[in-house]
Amino acid sequence: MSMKTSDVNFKQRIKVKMQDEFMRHSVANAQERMFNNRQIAADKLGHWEEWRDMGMDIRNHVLENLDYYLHQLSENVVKNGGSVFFASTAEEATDYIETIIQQKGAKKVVKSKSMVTEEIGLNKVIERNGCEVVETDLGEYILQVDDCDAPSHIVVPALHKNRTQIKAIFKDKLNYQGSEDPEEMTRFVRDYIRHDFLEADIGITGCNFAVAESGTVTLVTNEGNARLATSLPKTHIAVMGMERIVPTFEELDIVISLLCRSAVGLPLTGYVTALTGPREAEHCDGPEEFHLVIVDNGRSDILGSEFKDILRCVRCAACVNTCPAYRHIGGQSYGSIYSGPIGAVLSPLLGGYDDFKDLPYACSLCKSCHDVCPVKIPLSDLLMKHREKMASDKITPFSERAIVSGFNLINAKPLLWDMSIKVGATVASGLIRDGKMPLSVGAIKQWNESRDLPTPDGQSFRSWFANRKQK
Amino acid sequence: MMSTLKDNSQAAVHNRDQFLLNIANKLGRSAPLTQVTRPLLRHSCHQEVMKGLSTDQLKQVLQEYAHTSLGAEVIETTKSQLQAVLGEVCQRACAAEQDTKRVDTIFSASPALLELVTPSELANEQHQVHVWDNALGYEANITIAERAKIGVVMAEQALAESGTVVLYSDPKQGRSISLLPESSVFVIAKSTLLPRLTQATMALHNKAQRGERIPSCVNFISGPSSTADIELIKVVGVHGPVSATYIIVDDM
Repeated sequence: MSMKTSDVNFKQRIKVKMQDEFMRHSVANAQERMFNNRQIAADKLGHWEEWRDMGMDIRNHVLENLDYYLHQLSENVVKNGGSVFFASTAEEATDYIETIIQQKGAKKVVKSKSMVTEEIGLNKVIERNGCEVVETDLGEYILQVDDCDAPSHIVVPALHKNRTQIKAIFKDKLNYQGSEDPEEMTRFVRDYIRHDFLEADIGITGCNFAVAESGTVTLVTNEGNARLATSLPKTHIAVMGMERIVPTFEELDIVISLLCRSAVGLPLTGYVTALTGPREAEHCDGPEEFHLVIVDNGRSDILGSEFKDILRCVRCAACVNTCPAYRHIGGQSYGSIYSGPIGAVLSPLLGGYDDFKDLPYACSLCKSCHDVCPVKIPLSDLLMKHREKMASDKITPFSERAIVSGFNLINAKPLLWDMSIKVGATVASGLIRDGKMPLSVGAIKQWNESRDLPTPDGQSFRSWFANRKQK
Repeated sequence: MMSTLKDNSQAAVHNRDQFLLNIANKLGRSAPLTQVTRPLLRHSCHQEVMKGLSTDQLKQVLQEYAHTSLGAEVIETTKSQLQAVLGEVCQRACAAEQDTKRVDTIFSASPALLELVTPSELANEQHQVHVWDNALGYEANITIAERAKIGVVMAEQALAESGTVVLYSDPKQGRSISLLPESSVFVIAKSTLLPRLTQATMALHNKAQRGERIPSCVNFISGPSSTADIELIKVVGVHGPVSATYIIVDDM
């Protein structure tokens, strides 16, 4: 899977997804629970705004000095006996990993959840070498078994599926004979793929945060699959977006504390695993070889742009869990592995406007995402910037631009404005019948479909107001 | 550039100069920075959490959280009683096995633990006891750990706020002991209790500042493994251990 998850157009996708009653119910329910848990955890900790300030400061400092910290990180990884590959593009990253797979003659790879490996389309590259790749995070595993269905949430990827659907998938693909009880299905997967961890030649993980001062890669997880993937196979490859770094362990404390509370409402997740290089010579478990792949893939362009703030993101999905647009259309409607407000900002930046020009409009500008973001990313402002940029780059539809420039022209001339308002009021009162406008085109059409218009009285507000004064 | 990939097993850095130069340029610099002063954090609220609490108070917080929120069992004991407590924990696991199936337990070889416990004395007909032995190599240790139902490890520290045990990988205490067996038993010295992650990461920071290598695997473990990937329903026990027992040694 690459970043793009659908070839169907945005409006068509939304239409289909909004018919999915289960998905809409489960998304609404999930949003409420995750939103509440986050809020309770933040309140319990106290001084949440101060924590957010620190999170923002740390991430900004790293971005401002990214060249320095990436250098320091790579020096320390090598000092510990690991290798570092700097990949400017997705292809450079997958090429490097492919070379390792070939050198090792790897037959099996176990992966723990990683958004950036999805972004660079790693699985296909591994598989074309005759190497099996097993997604071991339960949510990702469900999607992989279901013919690589697209994720719908960056923390809970199979959120759109219910237990009945999951049971049917397991029965169909894995000959699962048990009930649809989540615990029974979870234990089934535990037993079913345990041997994969023991047999795998390579474990591939993402990286929540790398620590520059020590060359450490930190993974924030719950299921234990990332621990297995980094303890049993002889080779560990960690893939990280180039901005996912903190200077020292002191800052790691702050960002991990913010991430766990914002993502799942807990002080810490079940496992926070800090991995420093391959295992030491005298240890007997853990990988013999460690590779860190640092991926740019468009991030440096963002760094030099007005969208730089988005690189502070710690992928907690708090913005997703509060977004009313996401609530109604669900994650798969975005057509990107990154959904919700973060996805609507990031996808066009990493994947281009051609595929993702509609996403900045999946927003009511309520700014709730801004309020919950643990590193204070002004997400809705960035969505507005996308809209401005697309308008000035003439990416928006011609009719929309024509309407806007027409409006601008009229709005700038009081005489024209007065006249058009008067004409408009008269024309509208002649046309609107039973709250519906027969002239239904473009944006007006969509507006009309879901709303009734008031019955007009043939005059504009300004003339009504002026007449009222005289009375 | 790809020619440098011929031998990946040698620690090396690939493609760095161009990559960092590009970042420097995007940040408006002609060359990458060679020195940066790390700013102080703006606030100190992270250091204020549970500040001034005694170890007994921290113990209470940890107990409460681990029990109610993590579903872990918490047992308090003393150095002299540790052997007996571990015996009971293992015995319970044996009793839970149907048809008196053999139960294997693997112990960390941590000197601090072995000073207080003699694992071999916990063995009986149904209960086979192993101690992590680096000299046996990867295969043998993993085979034992995979077969074992219980893994007993010594915690480096424990964090009250999140009910977390901190484990440092060590030749005497492999990563797999707290990972492959179904049940994890964490032995925690009361004196190592800390308020929160802040103090534990500070210890690692100080290590790094002294130029010491950080252990290849430092784990912050809060309870048994879990997931909520199916309908957001919490299920305890996924790929990692299914249950966790914290034994706090009071006079240690």
